[in-house]
Amino acid sequence: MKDEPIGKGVKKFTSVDGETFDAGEPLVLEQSTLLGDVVRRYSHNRAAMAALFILLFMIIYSTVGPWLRPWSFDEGLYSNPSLIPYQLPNLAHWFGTDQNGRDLFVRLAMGGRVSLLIAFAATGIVLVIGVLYGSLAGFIGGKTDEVMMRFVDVLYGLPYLPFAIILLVILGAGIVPMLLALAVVSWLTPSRLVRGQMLTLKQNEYVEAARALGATRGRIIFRHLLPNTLGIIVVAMFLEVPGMILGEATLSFLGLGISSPDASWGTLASEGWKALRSHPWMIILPGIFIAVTVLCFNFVGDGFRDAIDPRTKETK
Amino acid sequence: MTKLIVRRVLWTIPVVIVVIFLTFLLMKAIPGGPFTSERGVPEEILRNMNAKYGLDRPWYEQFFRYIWHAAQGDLGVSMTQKSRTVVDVIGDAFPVSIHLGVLAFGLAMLIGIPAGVVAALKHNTFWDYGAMFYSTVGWALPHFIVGPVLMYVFALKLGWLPTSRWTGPQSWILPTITLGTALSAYFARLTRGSMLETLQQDYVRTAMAKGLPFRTVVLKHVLRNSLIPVVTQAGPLLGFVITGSFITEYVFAIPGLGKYFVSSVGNRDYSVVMGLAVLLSSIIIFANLVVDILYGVLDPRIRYE
Repeated sequence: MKDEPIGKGVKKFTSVDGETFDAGEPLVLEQSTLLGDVVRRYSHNRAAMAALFILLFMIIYSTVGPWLRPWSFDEGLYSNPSLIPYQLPNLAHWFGTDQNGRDLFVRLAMGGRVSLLIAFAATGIVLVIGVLYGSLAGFIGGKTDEVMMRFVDVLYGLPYLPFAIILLVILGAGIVPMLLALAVVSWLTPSRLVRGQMLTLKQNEYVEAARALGATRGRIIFRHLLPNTLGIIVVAMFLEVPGMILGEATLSFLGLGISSPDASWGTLASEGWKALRSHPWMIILPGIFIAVTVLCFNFVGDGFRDAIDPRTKETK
Repeated sequence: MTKLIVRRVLWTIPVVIVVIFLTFLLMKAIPGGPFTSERGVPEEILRNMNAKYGLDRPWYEQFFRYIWHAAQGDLGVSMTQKSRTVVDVIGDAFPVSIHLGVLAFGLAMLIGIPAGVVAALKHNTFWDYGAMFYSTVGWALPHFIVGPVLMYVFALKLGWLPTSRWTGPQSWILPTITLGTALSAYFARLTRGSMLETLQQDYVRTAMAKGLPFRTVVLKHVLRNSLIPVVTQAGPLLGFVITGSFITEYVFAIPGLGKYFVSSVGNRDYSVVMGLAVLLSSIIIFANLVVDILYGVLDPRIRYE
């Protein structure tokens, strides 16, 4: 229906005077879709586009990086005596080698895999918890909402790092414990966000209409309300990821979480820190990777927010 | 207003108890006890040790005992450094952390707020872009990169400043910058956004139209009102500062709360970890309380809600 030309099929029409006119070319109204608008507005934002490309580059580097060089990420001088520790970047080892002679180009790519994977997965978990919790609280409202949100308020005040550290000690080192530790301490913001949205959205007439037609709560939440919060959830996701990258890196830097020979950017920074006195470039590389990735995610998140809701840009 | 404050103050009590409870449960879940060692401890000694620290009682009794003692200012005895109480440990470490935090906050405000003001007044000029570039990059730089880089350049290469410890003004400089950079970036962004909004207000236009000097308008009308959001963000920011100070203290070997916390977790010194976690949480809860009350004082509109 939407692309149907107005007055289709009418070739000629008659004016009040009895004169006949040629109807001319039919007028096609192009309806812009939400997605189309978002993409168009986003692509006009140069900083956000640049950030998106850098991020894509990071993801590609992390994915294919380990296959570009002949060494594996845990191949050090004990398994391959020809490797020399602490090499500066050179033709063979593009980013140099670490204290065990392991190739840093490969290790940084592997670290990227682990860091990005953890960040994405933790964000996913957090969003699922946040969306469920927030939409339940917001939709049911009343006493339930009050109790659920009070609980969030209580946890919100807590400093996340000490609790993440305790959690990691309980759960042990590795990727899954790290995911859980990050998720447990950061599902609060999305919950609040979604709940706030729910409270406003459920005032709409279409919710009442749906209820009058006998739709169940679940149907109203998942079919009518959540799709309308999608934009905000996407933005929240992009703004959550940098926090996760930093959280993982911070914990790994303290020696909790991912440990050698496995690598994350945080582990690599930690190894670089130990060699700071003599081999400072070892911390510079993961440092640049972390900072650039975090920066780009912030830009992409801001870009999406402005593209989805241009009003937010006014005060900028 | 008084009623509001009283209610808000009373509300912090159950919050602190819930926090202690959660921390307590977490501590119980840590595998291994404080007295397990590789060499193994004879059964009787282990039993006596557990009895001494009350670890043989049922968990709910331990919990209520802890609350009861904590209310009286007794957080127990360190389980690895037998001669010291948790309060002793806090007494040693807390002033250092506070000192670092205050210096960093001071530095951040000294740089961040003026940068934000200049950026807003010179909106969309070179100054604005410069300040925003600083704030964007400064916020993205993790503490564990800034610290080591500063240490390498100014302590190891140039030799101007000491690499670590907390011994005198010279040793304060690098940790303060490490902790303060991201914070100042945040202040700059917040001040700028809030200033831009306030500059649009009618009363600002009125003040300008009255012919008041630009300086007066900016300082008295705009800046004052713009700093309200900056104050309200102090609570959440404190959590960020605590996280940052953990790393800063770790990097520069500063004997503050963060360093003690990390080492106590490693030693499974339950009582110290619990004490520090409860202390840190209480600080944030208290800060949020102060912020809420300050908010009402600074912005009278809030009180009527």
